[in-house]
Amino acid sequence: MKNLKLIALLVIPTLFSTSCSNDDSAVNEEEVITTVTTTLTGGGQVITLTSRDLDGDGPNDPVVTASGNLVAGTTYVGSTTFSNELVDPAEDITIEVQEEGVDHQVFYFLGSSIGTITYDAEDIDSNGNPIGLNFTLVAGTSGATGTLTVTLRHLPNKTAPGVSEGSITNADGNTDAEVYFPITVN
Amino acid sequence: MRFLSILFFFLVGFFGYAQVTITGVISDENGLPLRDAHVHIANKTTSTDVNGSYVLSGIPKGKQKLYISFIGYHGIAETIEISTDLTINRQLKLDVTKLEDITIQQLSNSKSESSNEQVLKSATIEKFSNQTLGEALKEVSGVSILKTGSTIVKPVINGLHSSRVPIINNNVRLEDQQWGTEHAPNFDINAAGKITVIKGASALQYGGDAIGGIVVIEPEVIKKDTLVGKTILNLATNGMGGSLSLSLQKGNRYGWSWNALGTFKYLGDRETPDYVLSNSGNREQNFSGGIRFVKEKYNFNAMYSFYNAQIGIIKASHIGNVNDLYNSINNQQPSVIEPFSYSIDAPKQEVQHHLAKINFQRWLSENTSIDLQYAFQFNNRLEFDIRRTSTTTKKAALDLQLATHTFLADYKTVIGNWRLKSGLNLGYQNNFANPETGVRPLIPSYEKLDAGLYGIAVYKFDNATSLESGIRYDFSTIEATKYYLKSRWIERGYDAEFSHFIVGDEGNQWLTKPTFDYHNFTANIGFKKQLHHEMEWLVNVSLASRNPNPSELFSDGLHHSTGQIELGDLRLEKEQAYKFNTTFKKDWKLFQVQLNPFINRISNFIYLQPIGFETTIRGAFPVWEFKQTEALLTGFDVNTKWTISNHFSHELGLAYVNGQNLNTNEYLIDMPPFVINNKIQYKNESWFNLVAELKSELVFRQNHFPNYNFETNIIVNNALTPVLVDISSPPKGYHLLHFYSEITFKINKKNSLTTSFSVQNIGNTTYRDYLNRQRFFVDEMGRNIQIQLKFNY
Repeated sequence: MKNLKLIALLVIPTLFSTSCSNDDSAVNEEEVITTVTTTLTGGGQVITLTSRDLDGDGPNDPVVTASGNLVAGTTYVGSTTFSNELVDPAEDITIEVQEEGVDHQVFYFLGSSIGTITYDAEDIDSNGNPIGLNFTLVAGTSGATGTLTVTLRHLPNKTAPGVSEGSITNADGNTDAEVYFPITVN
Repeated sequence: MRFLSILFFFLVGFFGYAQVTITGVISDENGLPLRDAHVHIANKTTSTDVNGSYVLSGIPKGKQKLYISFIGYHGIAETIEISTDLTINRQLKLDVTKLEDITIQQLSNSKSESSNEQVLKSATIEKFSNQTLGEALKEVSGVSILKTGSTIVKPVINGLHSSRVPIINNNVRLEDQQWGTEHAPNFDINAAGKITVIKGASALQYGGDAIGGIVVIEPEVIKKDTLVGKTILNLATNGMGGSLSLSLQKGNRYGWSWNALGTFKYLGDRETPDYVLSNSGNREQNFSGGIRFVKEKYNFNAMYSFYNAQIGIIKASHIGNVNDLYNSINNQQPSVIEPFSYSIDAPKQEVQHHLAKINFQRWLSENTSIDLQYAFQFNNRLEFDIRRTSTTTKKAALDLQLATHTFLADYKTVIGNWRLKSGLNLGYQNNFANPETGVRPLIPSYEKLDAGLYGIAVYKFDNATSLESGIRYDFSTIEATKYYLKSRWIERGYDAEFSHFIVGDEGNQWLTKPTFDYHNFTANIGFKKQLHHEMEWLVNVSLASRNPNPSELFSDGLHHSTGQIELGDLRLEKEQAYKFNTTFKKDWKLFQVQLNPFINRISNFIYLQPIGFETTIRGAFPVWEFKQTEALLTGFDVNTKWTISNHFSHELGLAYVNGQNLNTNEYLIDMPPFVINNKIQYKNESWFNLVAELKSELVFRQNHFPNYNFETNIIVNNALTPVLVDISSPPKGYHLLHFYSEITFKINKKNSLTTSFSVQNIGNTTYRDYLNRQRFFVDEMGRNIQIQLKFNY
């Protein structure tokens, strides 16, 4: 009799586990960045650079577009936005980067003949370190071509040498986004 | 001279006038027969059968030595004068002073007659009370460990691990998502009474897929009416913590008995000689308990165990893309070093494993028994990652819930010289990948059904020779529910072959239900031969068959811990291994040698190979694909034990394995390097049972590895520069020294206190290990001083 009770006790978890039906719904992917957009405004131009990857970690490469070319010597006011276009309406992730600015920094890399980039002095986190969403770009010499690399780092070491000036070399942390825009200077 | 004397005895025996036969029955104090007791007269040995009786023939006349021994009982040694055929019956007395010895293992006979088996006993297991199953198993030569950091440890047998090395806990096959290299066995080492390592697939009763080998864990069972308690307290300097394990066991020969065990572990960040391994702490809260009821004709037992662990993953090992990986490899310095802390943040793992089972055994006759068992396991694995926001970081990035039901029926009998064993098993498994994580899971939800049948026969030609053969059939069917990105489905080329798996269209994803059936036949044959008294020879040939696991079939995305995209393949076939395994044992009383060479030829060997790059919004990632090849593993293990004097002894363990990919003419990745272990032990029983050991662990550099390096572009001094990401080169070899010492105070006949003091990595050597998945990021642990108090009552 005692044995029977015990068996009954052991069967209970079995029933429990088989009765909770499995949810076959698709994963609602959070924190996906599908699109990185850098906008450059200056000299009467608005140049939009976009990198869009709608299959996430899937095999398709991001689709990169540039709406125009830079003009030599012009100063552009630049800003970068991050969004997830898989949900409707698209989710703006830029706000999140700004809110958790202490843990994020955007880095830019551009060959010196194409131009130079400096962070906007007002775009800083609560510790006074740059976040890097807003910047100024001064276009280089006419005829230069190359790539603008935009990198969003999570948990960078913001006090490492050069990091607050925008150098990624000592930044560490891990990469949330890294895109490459083709640039031509007329 | 020796040969002549053997020849002489042989001739004398042939004519038969100077030789006699001794028969008898060996029983315990209550007159109950003892089976498998060892009887030794002159130069002949045998074991008693189920009735406790033995027959030794060909004993020369004259004064002869008689030895009788049985584990847990006082042995008998006497000199007898033999002039005619004799009956010698003896009763053995229980040895109550040696508590450890009266614990009789549930399955006292070997798991496989002809295969190499190595056993860890509780005295060795207790040394690892504060560590893991994997680290205890490393004591067996030929077993190495695959680590992720310092707390996630998996055993590697003769170069193979994970799905290829099933772990059997208490006669239940552990189903704890063992496919993952960073999934450690969900088992509390303190619950093991005896661990057997079988280096082959010959133990067919446990399954036919043990391509690498099998680890069989059995609990302590005390067959004596007594209440025994044990408390083990461990304190370690590296990690600034320790563990406490309490166990109580009420033993009984007949009637009710029970046991309960609780283990608590609490350790903070480990340290290398130079820095803190931030976020490497771990915790465990484990419980197990069981009851047994034994009658002469039947016994019943039920048990439940719960394993609950929280394991920190070193922060510096979390990477975003391949540039981060390059930086880590080249800096040789972790990117995150924080002051020592006990807290465990993301990335971390939280795993829970429940195991409940009931078992009923009935003796149909004196040597025939039938065994029925039902077991339920529930495994929940939560993995937390550093995610983009602090709120999502608190949510698990992986949540897998695996429920497994198994039913076993085994039949054992002895007919004359035959020992037969057969049985069947039925299993149902359900994995649920929780979509609430907000991250696409690499392992999908699935349902699996298994059914197996086996038969094993052992024929004993005489006391010195036995032949073993077994055959097994397994059927398995798996149905997964998996969302594939449409782009991935096309890239994999699945649209032509597997379009019938598609059951739904969800935007940019296909909902699929891939279903596969597998029929596997496995077999083994082998023999054991006692060449003469001191030498034994074992030969075993086995065919094992393993179905591709869910990660090999279904993986389709970024594996964060490695920074690589891993792609499974629905076309993968089952793996088949032919393993030849032979063992020579020679025993010169003061010097014992065991030699174990093996050849493992694996057809359709599944492995990961890099095939190129994919660019995502996070940058470029190397892509690794599960592929199949023809593989050949060869190697040998050597053990020696030398009793130098009454106090000193020496042990040597040596292991070598060579893995080759026959299709590409490359070496196989992640093969353990050549290892030599030496141990000198000093023992003095008159001085509180003092044991002091110095162990040297010499690990060579693995020079046999495939070159899977690749190039990437990183920004160096404001210029985009192509660099080589060296993920292939193994780290340098290393040499470590470890010390262990213990003394035992007898408080009274039943109670004793053992205190031990040990130091691991005495020289505080800085090193990295080829088989540690975090070798790209951090060094191994530095010196660790450990104190253990063990109280038996």
